[in-house]
Amino acid sequence: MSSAVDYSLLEQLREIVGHDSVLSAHSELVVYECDGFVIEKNCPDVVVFPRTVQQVSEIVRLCNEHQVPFLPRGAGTSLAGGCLPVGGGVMIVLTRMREILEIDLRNRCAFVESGVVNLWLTKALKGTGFHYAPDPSSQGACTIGGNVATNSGGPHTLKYGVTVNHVLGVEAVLADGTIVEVGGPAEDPTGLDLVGALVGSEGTLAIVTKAWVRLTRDPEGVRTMLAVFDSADAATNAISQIIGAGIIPAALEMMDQGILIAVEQAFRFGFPLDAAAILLIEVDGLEAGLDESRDRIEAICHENEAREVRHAQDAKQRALLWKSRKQAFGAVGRLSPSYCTQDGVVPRTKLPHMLRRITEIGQAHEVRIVNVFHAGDGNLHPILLFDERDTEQIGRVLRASEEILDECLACGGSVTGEHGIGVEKIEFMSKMFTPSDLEAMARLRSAFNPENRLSPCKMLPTAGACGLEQVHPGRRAAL
Amino acid sequence: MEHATLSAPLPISENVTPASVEEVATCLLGAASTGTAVYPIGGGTSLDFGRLPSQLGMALQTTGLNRIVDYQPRDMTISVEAGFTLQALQQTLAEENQRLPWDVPFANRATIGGILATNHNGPRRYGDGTVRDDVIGIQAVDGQGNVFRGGGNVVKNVAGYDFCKLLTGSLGTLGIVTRVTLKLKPCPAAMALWTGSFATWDDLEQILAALVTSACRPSAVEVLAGPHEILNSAWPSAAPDALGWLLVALEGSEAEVDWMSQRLEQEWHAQPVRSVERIADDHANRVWQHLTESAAPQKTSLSLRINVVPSATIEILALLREIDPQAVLQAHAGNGIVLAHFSEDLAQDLPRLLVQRIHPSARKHRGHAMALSGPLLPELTRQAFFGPPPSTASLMAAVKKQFDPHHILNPGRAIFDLE
Ligand SMILES: Cc1cc2nc3c(=O)[nH]c(=O)nc-3n(C[C@H](O)[C@H](O)[C@H](O)COP(=O)(O)OP(=O)(O)OC[C@H]3O[C@@H](n4cnc5c(N)ncnc54)[C@H](O)[C@@H]3O)c2cc1C
Repeated sequence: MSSAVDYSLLEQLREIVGHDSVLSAHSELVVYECDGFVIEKNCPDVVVFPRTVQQVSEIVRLCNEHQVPFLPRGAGTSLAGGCLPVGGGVMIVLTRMREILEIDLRNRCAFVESGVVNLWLTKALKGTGFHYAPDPSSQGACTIGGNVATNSGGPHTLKYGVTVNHVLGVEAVLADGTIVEVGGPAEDPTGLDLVGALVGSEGTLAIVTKAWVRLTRDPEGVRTMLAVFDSADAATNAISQIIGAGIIPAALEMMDQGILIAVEQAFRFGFPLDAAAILLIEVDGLEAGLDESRDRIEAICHENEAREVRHAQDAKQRALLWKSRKQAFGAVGRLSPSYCTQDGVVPRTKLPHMLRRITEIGQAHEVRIVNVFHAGDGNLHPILLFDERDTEQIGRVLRASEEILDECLACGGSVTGEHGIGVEKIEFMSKMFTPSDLEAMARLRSAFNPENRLSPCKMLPTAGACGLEQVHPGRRAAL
Repeated sequence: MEHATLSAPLPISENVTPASVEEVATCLLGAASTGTAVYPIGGGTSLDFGRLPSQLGMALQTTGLNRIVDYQPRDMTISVEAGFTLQALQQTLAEENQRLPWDVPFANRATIGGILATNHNGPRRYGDGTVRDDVIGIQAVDGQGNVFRGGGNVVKNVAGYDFCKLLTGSLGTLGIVTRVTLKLKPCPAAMALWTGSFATWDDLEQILAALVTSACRPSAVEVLAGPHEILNSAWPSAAPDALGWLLVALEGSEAEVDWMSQRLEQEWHAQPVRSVERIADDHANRVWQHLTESAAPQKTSLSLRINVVPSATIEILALLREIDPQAVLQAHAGNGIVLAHFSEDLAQDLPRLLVQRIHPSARKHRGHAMALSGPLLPELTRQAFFGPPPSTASLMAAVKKQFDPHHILNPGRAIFDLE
């Protein structure tokens, strides 16, 4: 326990949320030492589970009084270390704020607490003709609050946009404990777009307690197909040609041979194992236009020498195709004891080049890399396979990751399309942005989080000098 | 640097027209050191947007920043300087069969930077989202002359804070936008514009609610009420008892638009919509233009924008109609946004009506009202202009202070600008 988190703080926290909602024993805290990014770990000193916004506000005020750092956590599925409690302190876990408060179909919006799991909302909306569009692959576990904080995407964001395009407003607790409503169910609130600033701020500007989210009409129909290619170049060329032809598919996902083999071994979908790449393509919308879009896509695939194009004939076949995509990560376990999923973005037309470079980089560092990704947005997820027990391998994996992300930047892209900066990619911020850009970001953070007690040492490289004496780098220094 | 002359409702003592971001930075650095107010001006189409400032200052025209920096049609992205006009941009995009789904008055003069700063959104916001959804990268200069960027060149990107969103709608109070990168959309092959009249507000709500679950997927759901000029002249058919008119735009492939047209006609048959008609294509352009330009200031005492939850649109329309039977009203009804242009004889009473009736009603329906333009503007108190401040007003002021500590960027114009 860091010196600042003393017994009196613990007692006061218990008064706010009750004994059953405070964890402080080491054996309980280790569960919270990291999120989906497992390379760096550090235990919080206390974990609290508030049930109301007032409790969150009181906890935050208390942390300020005691001058200890604090940070929000949802389901902890972040892949960038956003939930790493740098410097220990109080972790505020929002998973007990789990009510769907309102579903208003007439106004196409829902009002939910931030601990609501993404999939619960999907289920609650089933049969209404509406859905909540952002569908991260982790949707069975991740929370709406976490989605808002990381501006999550998913396979269907190619057509429907990412989280920020679907959040109308939030209720939030500011770094000093003030409760505010930012935006709301009506569009275009006056003044600055603080909702836009909060979404994607990775828990460093405020703690989101509730959100008004936009609901989207279910498409009338859908066509799902699978195109098999003998070369990755041909597949990636087909991608930019489809979109260049003015068709915006609902989803356009790519799997390369490495991942195909793993998926096939795990689930036996009947994919050809000698194929270099497959594209999972889905168009949705009005029945009246779907066959035309499907036929045009099929023609483009054939122009690019697709070996075959399979069509899902019914809902069951469609579900099977999607299962192969959604469970691809799970199948990776068959290939190697550990893996690291990278997240980079390039302009779509740079995909052929980028995939070639990934192969070369993997070869140069003797790291096996497989790919399954949101190809339509140019959002790559190279998966680097290694064995965690071998520190020499870890070194090579980190160097290969860095080279891949550098290459994304050289192509005019980004080092993260959806997983965020967290602690993982802080070093890349100064490659992507100028000192002046970063200073502007630091100023925005100062306006919201002047003491920098809310999730310190995240996102901005300058955060290292965040002025908190009790900050220690956990295992960061070891890397 | 070229010095231009310009007449504007702003208190301007000098004009500058920088031709590069470096020149903008130099201007702002200089202004910051002397504490000179700076009023960024694009095409000059919305200069009375926001409260009227009193401080004498410098007009910084962005029209010298007028280059396309990079257009990648196959990636469907474009980087363009802030002073580029929307019309010129749309012409360039049309050559590749692409577009921005933005509907903005005076597109031949309105600049990309100005549209962003005012967050101007027209009818198509219903189907295509708003300006902020299309901005993927931004460069701006803050109130101390620092150049800063957010976002990048790719359609998906979560690195760093999202300045693209923060600056959209900030009315040039945090920084002068110098360049933006935009995500583009393909042009639809076909469009149909359908109209019908309604006789009561309750009928209108019934029709609007049904449109939310219609088999069609409209790209715009608009309502016109009051003495719109276009209704006198070339309107498709007369309906003497009409309280107002609905307009629904359908866009997509030929097959989709044909199918939706059939369905909409059937659906409207079962609802209290009268005089249903598909507006002939040659006429549709004119009507569409009216829907876009009607948002612009007219001969009026005051123009107002009210945003509420969509289901309350009729409450607002009814209230405004009651206050001023001659008010020219337009609603982006699918989104709960109402634009009102009040007649001139109401000038005396409006400030009081705003505070006592319009703001409270907007608030009741979870929204706000805001004055837009008109000769009455200078007479409005802050509260009449914006209504009660939101719970985030001091947070907005804190953000403003970080980006413009000398308080030189558009001083006095925004709701959070506490002077
Ligand atoms: C198998 C797998 C697949 C994934 N697929 C995708 C994908 O397709 N697309 C995608 O975008 N991401 C994906 N992710 C990443 C992750 O699931 C998302 O970032 C998700 O939004 C995180 O939600 P969470 O509730 O787990 O948040 P957490 O991991 O708990 O937190 C994430 C960040 O948000 C902050 N935070 C959490 N809750 C709040 C709150 N209420 N207020 C303020 N800040 C808060 C935290 O401090 C942290 O910085 C995947 C992860 C895994 C493990």
